[in-house]
Amino acid sequence: MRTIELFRLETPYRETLVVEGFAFGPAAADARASVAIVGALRGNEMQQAFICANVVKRLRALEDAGALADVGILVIPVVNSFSMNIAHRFWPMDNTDINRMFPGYDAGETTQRIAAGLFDVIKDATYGIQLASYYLPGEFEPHVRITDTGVVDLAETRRLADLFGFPYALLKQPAPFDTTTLNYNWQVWGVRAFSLFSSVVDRISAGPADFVVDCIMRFLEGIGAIRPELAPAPPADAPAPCEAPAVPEAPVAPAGAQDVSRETAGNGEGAAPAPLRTGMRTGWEVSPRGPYETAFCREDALVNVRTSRAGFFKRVAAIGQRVEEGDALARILSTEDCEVIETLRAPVAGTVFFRHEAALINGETIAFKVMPA
Amino acid sequence: MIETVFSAELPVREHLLVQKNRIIGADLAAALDAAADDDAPAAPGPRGNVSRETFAREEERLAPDAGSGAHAAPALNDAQRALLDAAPRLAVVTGIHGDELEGQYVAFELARRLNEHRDQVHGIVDIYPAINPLGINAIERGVPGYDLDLNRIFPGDADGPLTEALAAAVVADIAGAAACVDIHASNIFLREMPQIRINELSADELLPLAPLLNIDFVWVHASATVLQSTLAYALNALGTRTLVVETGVGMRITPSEVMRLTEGMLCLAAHLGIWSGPFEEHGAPLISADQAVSFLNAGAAGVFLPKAAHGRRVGKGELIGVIVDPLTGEVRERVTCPASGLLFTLREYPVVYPGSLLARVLSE
Repeated sequence: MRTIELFRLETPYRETLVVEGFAFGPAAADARASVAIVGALRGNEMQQAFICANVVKRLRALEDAGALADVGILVIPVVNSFSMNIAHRFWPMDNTDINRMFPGYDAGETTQRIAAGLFDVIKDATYGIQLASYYLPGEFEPHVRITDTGVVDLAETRRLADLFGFPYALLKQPAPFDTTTLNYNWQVWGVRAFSLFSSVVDRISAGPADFVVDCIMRFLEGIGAIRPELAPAPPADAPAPCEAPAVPEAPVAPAGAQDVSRETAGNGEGAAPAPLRTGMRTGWEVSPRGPYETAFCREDALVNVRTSRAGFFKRVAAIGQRVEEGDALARILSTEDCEVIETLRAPVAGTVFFRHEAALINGETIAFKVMPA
Repeated sequence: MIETVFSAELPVREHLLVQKNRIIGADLAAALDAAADDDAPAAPGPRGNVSRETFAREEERLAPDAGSGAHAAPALNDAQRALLDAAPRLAVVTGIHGDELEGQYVAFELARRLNEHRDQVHGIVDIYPAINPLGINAIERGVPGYDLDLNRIFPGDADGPLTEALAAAVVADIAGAAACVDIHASNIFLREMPQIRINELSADELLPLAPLLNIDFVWVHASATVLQSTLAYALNALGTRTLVVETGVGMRITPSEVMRLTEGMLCLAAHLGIWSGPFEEHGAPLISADQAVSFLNAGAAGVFLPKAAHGRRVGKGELIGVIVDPLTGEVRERVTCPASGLLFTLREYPVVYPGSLLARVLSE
């Protein structure tokens, strides 16, 4: 493993910001292909940083065992350490978002310079993987997302996305503000780009993190970056495999229940939404989840479930849970007397794909997204 | 009359309310009252509110939800609705960013002037002082709880999350106006001379209106895809001519500039046939494209101390300011002007990183 300084920025009142990456495999000139894996562009992307750090750990073990092939791999667990260290999501000074600054401008504003410094290093990669987070706070069914910029070879992209073994791959039609994201600009530069969404963002959820790490390792194996026959057994200090909880049989909460914090269904970490593939290809899966037969869908196929009332948000359905039309997904309780003032129900049969996370919820907003069956 | 453009319940005894002040001229109000008895009221109109008398009657009849604080649009009959639809309408919008307050004074002063002289108003002026009311209340640029820039999600989506539903409601309410002015106030970091920024794609439609607003110059900037998410772009795309004003500095009000701008609103209203009262004209602005604007960004980190005066002409090589290090007592950078011209942007907030924008100069 080689530690590479990617960008350096002098700062007022704090130590110099240094963005580092960890390189594996041959240098660019000698590599058959290259992969760039980018973690936290935002300061609250803890799970994303954790996933990348675990990828570094796995790659280091593979490198020690001589199991890396002729593909250069660069992993950047944290870009925005300045915000992460002080619990900010965006850039501390002006609240700008590095992931709205690509391709960057090296003579521009501070976050434009950071984006430019990073992009200059990773824009020529063959494959780009970003551990991303959504602008709505909530939990996701883990998935890979592809932005349809119009320049991407969809058939080739689908073939590559399938290598991860996520249960779902979403094809996203870009909005105007997407044109300044890393994923979009990677594609403009000809990089085969994928955004990976874990279930959570600003906390560590080990099971889902392991699952995404497994997905990344499968992708690396799929493109020939890993020689599985030389891969060692998982290290002894690897986290214990997470148990996949069964999908709740009766995801119904008692109406007007007083205990808002108690989940009546599984927490979504491990619920199996799709049939498993047969056979594990690398033997490296720490999590028993996956790989899955990936279902490809357009993002606009997701059905929004909106609130009309506001109050305490009492979740009923879990992420990844299969629901029938009319099933209760959540209840909104009055903040004055805990009476149920609205029950959110599944508008279609399908899988719970996105769920509001906070204890309180506003009226007129999205609480769930359901992937139709 | 105060109307609610968008309302969403918040968890504990409160609503997020986007409201507007609809000011209707005396002659239109009289016509609406005369039409009130034409036939039975139809369903509440999308842009209700008529004269004080009509509204008072309707408000009593509709008895809006006492807890919401919302003002329901009164019912209108077909004749009244036709009168409102035919009337020229000016929309004045501000408070999309919660840390920009210059427009608050304009909203107040414009409403005060128009209310005092309803007889000189001929049509409708809709004033929207706070598109992001929670942000203004919490001194946050974005929407509290969502951590996003509201001016990057237009035209919104009525079926989307709260912020996008809000944006869609605002666009629907303003669309169809004869003109719209969206007042911004830079941010807390930069002080701006009064200016209008126009996307080059809308230049033909907007350049004839821009000089009416008493600003110092008009900046016709290149089209950027990301700017397609702004309120101005969304409305211009719908055919509602919308001008973006930048003036002053965030979290402050600069009375002299906003008074000038208020006179400019009246000048624009007069041009549209909505105002027949007096107004002051400031003089023709400079009109410039991107090529004439020079950017000065910090090369060092530290504290920026300006040495040149904002809003004045500066010469090539002139000292604009210095960046100093409070720990060592050293001057880290002397920032000089790359070209002579008008110093129309100057950094207000002292702490800087490399890349922080310090100044913009409009070349002569």
